[in-house]
This record gives sequence, C-alpha cells and structure tokens, in this order.
Amino acid sequence: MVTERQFQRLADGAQVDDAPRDAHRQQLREQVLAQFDSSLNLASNKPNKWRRIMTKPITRWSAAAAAVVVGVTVAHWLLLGGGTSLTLAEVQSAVNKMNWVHLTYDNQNGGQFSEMWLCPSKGITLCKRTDGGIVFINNATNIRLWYHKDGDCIEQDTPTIYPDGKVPTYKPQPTWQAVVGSNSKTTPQEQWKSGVVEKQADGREFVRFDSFYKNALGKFWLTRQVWVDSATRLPVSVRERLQLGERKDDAKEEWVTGKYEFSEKGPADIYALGVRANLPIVKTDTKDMPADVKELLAKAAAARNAFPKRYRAIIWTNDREAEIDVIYRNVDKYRGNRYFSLDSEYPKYHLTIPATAEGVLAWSEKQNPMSVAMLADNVHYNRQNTFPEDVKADHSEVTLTMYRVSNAEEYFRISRNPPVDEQWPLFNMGGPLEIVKADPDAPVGCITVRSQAGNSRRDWYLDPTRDYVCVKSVDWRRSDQGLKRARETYLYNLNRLDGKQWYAGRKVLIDYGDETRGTGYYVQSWNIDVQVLKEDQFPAGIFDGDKLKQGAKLRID
Amino acid sequence: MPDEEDDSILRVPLDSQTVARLYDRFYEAIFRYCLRRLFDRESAEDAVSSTFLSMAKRIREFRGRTLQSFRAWLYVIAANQVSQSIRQKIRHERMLKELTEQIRQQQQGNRSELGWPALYQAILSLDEGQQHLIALRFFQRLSHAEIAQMVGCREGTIRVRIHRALQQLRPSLQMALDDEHVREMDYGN
Repeated sequence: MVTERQFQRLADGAQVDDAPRDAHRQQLREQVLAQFDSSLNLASNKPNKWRRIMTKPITRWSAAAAAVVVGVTVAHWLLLGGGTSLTLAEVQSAVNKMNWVHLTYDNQNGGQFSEMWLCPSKGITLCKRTDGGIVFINNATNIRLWYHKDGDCIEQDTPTIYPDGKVPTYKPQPTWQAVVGSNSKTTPQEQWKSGVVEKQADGREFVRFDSFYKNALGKFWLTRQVWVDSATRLPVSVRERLQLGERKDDAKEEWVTGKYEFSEKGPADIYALGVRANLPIVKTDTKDMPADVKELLAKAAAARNAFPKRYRAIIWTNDREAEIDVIYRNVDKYRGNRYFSLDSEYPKYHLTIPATAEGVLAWSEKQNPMSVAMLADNVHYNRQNTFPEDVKADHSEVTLTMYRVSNAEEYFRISRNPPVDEQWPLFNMGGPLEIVKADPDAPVGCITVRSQAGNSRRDWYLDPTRDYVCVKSVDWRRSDQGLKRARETYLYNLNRLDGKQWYAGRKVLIDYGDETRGTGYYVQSWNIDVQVLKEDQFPAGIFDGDKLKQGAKLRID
Repeated sequence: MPDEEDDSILRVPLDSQTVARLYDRFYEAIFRYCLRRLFDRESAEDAVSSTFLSMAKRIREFRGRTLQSFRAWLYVIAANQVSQSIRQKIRHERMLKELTEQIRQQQQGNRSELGWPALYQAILSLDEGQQHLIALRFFQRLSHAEIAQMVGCREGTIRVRIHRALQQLRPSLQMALDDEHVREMDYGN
C-alpha cells in the first residue's frame, strides 16, 4: 500500500530544477499578447450568428431532426451497400487464386502479430509477434517452431494433438477462408454486408465489406472491415476488432489495422525472418519428456487430485493493505471474491493488520468485493464492481462478462484455481522438463524439476514427503547480460487438512524487476487459510448467476 | 489559491491588460505542471507556449466568471497539449532515452535514493488521466476538492482514482518504500 503521505514524501524528495527561464517567460508573454490582439479582428465578444440562432429551442430541435434524417439516410445507404457492383463472391474468387499473402499490422492498440505470411495451399504460416518472437507453423506436417526473443534455441512442438498421434493428410483451405474470413454460407456465426464504395484521394476506388459475428448473446456485431481495390478485386487493408486479451487497455473497444500484399512466393523458413541458423531445435511436447519426469508428474498429479474439492480458502497479506481473496469451491462450482483494503484514512474500508482468517472473513462480509469470478453450471462470470460503493466513480460502471466453458475440469485446468495452482504449478507449464540430480539450491529432501528453453529457465522444487507440493520455484530470464533470476516463490508453514492432504499456510514472492519493462524489485507475502467444507456449509446463493447479473452491464466478447 | 477579490480580473471587459495579468498569474504553475508531465524542459516550454497561445486565441469563448474556473480551463488546455506532445513519437523516444541515461547515472551514484527520473519513469506506467491527477495532487499540491472541481467530478471519485494510481505505482516504488529483505527469512517450518 502506498499512501498519499508516503508518495508526497517521495515527490518532495525527487528534486528537479523547475524554475522557468525568464527569457521564455518574456518571449512567450509578447507572443500571447500579440495573439490576443490579432484575434480581436477575427471575433467579437458577442456569440456569433450560428450560436445566436442555436440558442432558440425551435431551431435546435429542427437542426437535430434534420441531422437524424440525414444520418438515417446515410446509414441506410451504407448498410444496404448502395452504389457498388463488386460482390463478395467476386472478391473471394480473386483471393482464392492467390498463393502467398503477407499481412502487416499496426499495433498501436495491441494485437499479437506485427507481420504474417500465409500459404494456405501448403498449410504454412509464419509470423512475427509483437513480443519479438517468430513462429513457423506447417499444418501439413503438424510442426510448429517457435523462437523467443533473445532465446538460445528454437522450440518445436505439435500445434494440433491428434488422439492416435497420426497426422492426417492435409486438406488446403481456400485462401479467403484462411486469410480474410469465413464464408457466411458455411459459417452462420459470421455475416458479411455487401460492399460500400469509397473513393480514395489518389483516384482509386476501394469497396469496403463489413463482417459481423454472432456473439454469445446471439447478436451480430461488427468485428472486421475489409477494403478491396475494385480494379484488382483483392483486399488492400483490414480493420479488426481486438479481443479482450489482445488489447493494451481492455476497458476500451480497440481495433488493429493491417495491409495485404499478395505474391507467388514467401519466406522459405523461420531463418528467412531473422532467426540465427545455428540455434538448436528443442522438442517441448509432453510425449518427449524423460520417463523419470513422467513418473514424478504422475505422483504429483495424484496428490493434487486428492486435494479436497469442497473448501473455503482465504488469502491475504499481513504486512500491508492489499488484495484479499475469499474463495469457495464446491466440486465443479467456484466463486472467488476479491476485496481491496483501503488505508486507515478510509476506516469503513480498512482492515487492521495483522489479521486472522476469521477477522478477514468477518471484515469481508461487510464489504463489496472489487471483483467476482464465478463458475456455475459451466458458465464463467466475471463481475467488476465500482469501488468503494458509496463513492462510486462517475464514469465507471458495474460490468459482467460471461462465457460458456466446455466443462469444469477444463476450466480449472486453465483458469486461476488457488490455492491448488500455487501448490502444484507444474501442470500448466510447457517446455522440456528434466530432473536435476544434484542441485545445490534445492531445499533438503526436495526434487528439482527444470524447464529450460527459449529465453527462460524455470526450476521447481517438489517435496516428496509432503504430497509433492512445490515448496520453492525460481524463474530465470535470459537477456544480453546472461541468465538472471527474475522471480522466486516460496511456500511454507505446511499443514495437513483434517490430518490428510498438505497445504501451505504462507507464500512469499520475490520479484527482481525488469529494467526493460520499468519494474523494480519487490517482495510480497500472503497467508493462506483453507477450511474443508461440507455440501451444506456453503453460504446461501453463493453460486447464483442471476444474482450476480443484477445491476451490471453485460459485456460479451 | 485564487480568492474572490481576484475574480474581478474576469469581470471586466477582456483586454490585453487582463490577458497579461492572467498570464503572469498562471505562467509558473503551468510550466511546472508541464515539466512534471513531460520530463524535459524543452518539451515543457513548447507545451506551455501552445497552452498560452491557445488560451489567448480562445479566451473570448471562455464563459467562466471566477479564477478557479479559469484555472480549470487552462489546465485542460495544458493537459491536451501535454498529450499531444507525448504522442509525438520522436520527441517521446528522445525523452525516454534521456530518462534512461539519467536513471543509469543515478544508479551509479546512490542506488537506494529514488530520484526524479526514476519517479517519473514509474509515473509513466500510469495512463494519461492518472498522470494528470498525480501531477495536480503531488506536484501542484492541489486539494482533492480543487482537483474534483477542475476535472468535473466528485471529490470521492478523485480520492479513489488517486488511490488506485498509487496502488499501481507500488511495485515500482517498493525499493524506496520498503527495506524488507526476504533472504533473511527462515525457510521451512
């Protein structure tokens, strides 16, 4: 927690010479007065004619009505695609004759890729990512090569997992479908509006086609706009709506724009995009793991699966005001309430620390959570509240994001699932794993599992005497200065739940900061309290989705 | 703090003398605001120039009658000029380069002291709206109520926004705020 007083002290201590220059002050003063004098000739103190007319209600209403009529007429013309003879089918046909497509994106608002090359007839995709990574995918052979920025190897895996391990014969997609968008006849979720002619400044004529996609509420909304050169019938540019995870600011609706180029040939391989030719290729698929790692993971997975499925967990920190999580898990139902304790200037929202689990729970029951994540009946809910409730920000709104998940097991595999994730973090990690036999950094009796690929290394230390809980982990990051510790996590104060499974009562994170991202060193610790519950011990209505919807604006993505 | 007597400046017909008085009154405050937002003096002077030239051009459209409302209007113009300056890529890159160099020099000296370059770098991680509030609150030393009036929302909203901005800054400022060292902690049970 940084209080205003603390920050003011830092601000006062951060000395800077902020005395203005007299020369600038004098020079600007003369310019300002000259500007003011010159504006005398251009305007009077009275409102201009337009403003005087618009002060009368009758003229304001008339003008508004006229604007609505004009707007509706223009919108009607645009939506019905007036004035163009180029059809979407003609464009699709022209695109499908093309071999290689090169897409270049601007990434002002986010997006994963800066450039892409695609050859759908051969099933090849190459892309440059905005994080500096370079990826090559061959769908015909089901091989993916991934180079991470500053990495010392190229990772290889299989983009599609086939149940029997055999890669079926590749069937090329039409170029349009692979590159631009789906065919509305075969994909009912997407609808294209007929084109609108837009004259360019250089005299060329582009036709814009808009694509609407059916969202989870069943409504079609604009997701993509493609501009086509009417002379070549080929797309020249595209504007795509970014999904939540791709945006720089997920609170805003943001778009990315790209430019198309079509050619007969493209890059030969990943090395043609700048990856060093002498880098080793490391296979990272699970099937390629050594037998001893597979055996260890199986034991850890068994311990994780034995962890209770009905519990309440409270996670809080006792050394400063911070986020507080109160979590309920009832087999395939989950609810995570996140609270935020304000400093003592706001006694109503302040939690006195150090606090016990019971104290935190009693405090939380009087608070409005900042956010709620919930899974019930295979629907995921994420509610963001304005906070604190009685000083609601004027421009904020309570939002609820919903989406359907295929099953709860998959949800818990890929979503945040504390404290289980913290104790057994290995299962969501990729990379080639190995057991390090003699590791001087290993706590007594612990087994070291290492993943080293690309530009990072991770070491996990599993305690075989206590359910293979990962009691320590170290993340290493490679830069031009070599391998450096990036983060360390420790779990300790291990206890048994009802005399059975182990769980850690305390977690400490050390982050060494990253100069390239402007983050500094910090340490944070949490207390973890877990209580096993019975079916009838959960608070009433805790997994009620309809209740969670009340008063919230729905956001569907 | 502008007082009621000073509001008389705006109650007389606008003339050069009034504009000059307003300029003299607010020049330093606007300069300091721009400097804290833009880091380098040259960019700050440019933003100040644009702010006051824009003010001189548009002051006839200003309908306020108090110095407080004039100040709020002027800060809005200044904030817009600062935003424009930040969006000029070349200038922004030059500023970041200079910032990195100053932080490097500072780190070679005394690592534990949080200087202005490092503090500015931390503030840069906030969105522009939050940077504006931090500058008004901690460098212009305005009260929550004054900022609320300028920004056009409730005082409580300003408190919460500033509070949230400070929480976002916490990781970057941790070293200066907290000498805690976890390596001394006893691992195990």
